[in-house]
Amino acid sequence: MSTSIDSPLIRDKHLPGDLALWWFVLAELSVFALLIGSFAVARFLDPAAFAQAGSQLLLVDGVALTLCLLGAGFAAACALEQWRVGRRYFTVGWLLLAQGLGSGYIVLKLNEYQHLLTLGLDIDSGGFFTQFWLISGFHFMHVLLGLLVLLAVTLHVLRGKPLAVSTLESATIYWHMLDLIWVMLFVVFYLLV
Amino acid sequence: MPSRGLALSACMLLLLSLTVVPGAQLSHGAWAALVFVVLLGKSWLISERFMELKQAPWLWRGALLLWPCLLGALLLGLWSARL
Repeated sequence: MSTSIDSPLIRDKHLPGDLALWWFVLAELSVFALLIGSFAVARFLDPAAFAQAGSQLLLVDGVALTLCLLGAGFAAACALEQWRVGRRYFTVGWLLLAQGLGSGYIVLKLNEYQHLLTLGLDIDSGGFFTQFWLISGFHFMHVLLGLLVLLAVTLHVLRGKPLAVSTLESATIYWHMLDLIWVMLFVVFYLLV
Repeated sequence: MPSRGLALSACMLLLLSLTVVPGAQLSHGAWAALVFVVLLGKSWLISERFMELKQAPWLWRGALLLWPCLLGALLLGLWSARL
């Protein structure tokens, strides 16, 4: 059955994806809220050291990382639209673009990590960097998992196997959750220095 | 081709993401306001358009919008208080 996004079925009060996934999203957001909140309090208690450490991160890096992640989110949303109208190969194309941009985020982040390590700024380099490595590393692992999920869905679609719309919705919702968290991390680490 | 709504959301996200680059020259107060607006704007577009919560029950929409509102207020409140 092909269902357009403008059909009455979608317009009704409807939570996309699986309900269990939404509880998982809320749990993840809560964990990140605690981590980000603790970072904010630590910065409040030692603003000078945090400001000096934070100046080591480049705004342009943060913007590039943001564009990669949000671009991947857009491509994933487009893939879902195409899947709903039954366009298998367009779906695969958008999913591959999402993975390409997600991989771009991984490459840029690894480059940033390497740059910081070259400067001797590892997890033991003061409060800012301890929390930076922990929180951004935790998010980084989530992005890797998100890429694996998108890859698994892509292979499933490519093999011509049936795939419920709610399954693809769940996969894309997970990716958008990563976008949502990154938008906050961008503010924390790159903007409020 | 993506739908018009999705394409428009992507354009707005791009614009909001790039706004902070020239905005870095602003005063502290204006900078804090800009960061808060950009944060809420991006979060709203992601949850309402990309996650399609526009059609979801209001409790879920509220929960996903409350997250950036509360956390953003905490971050900016503590950041401004130290100045």
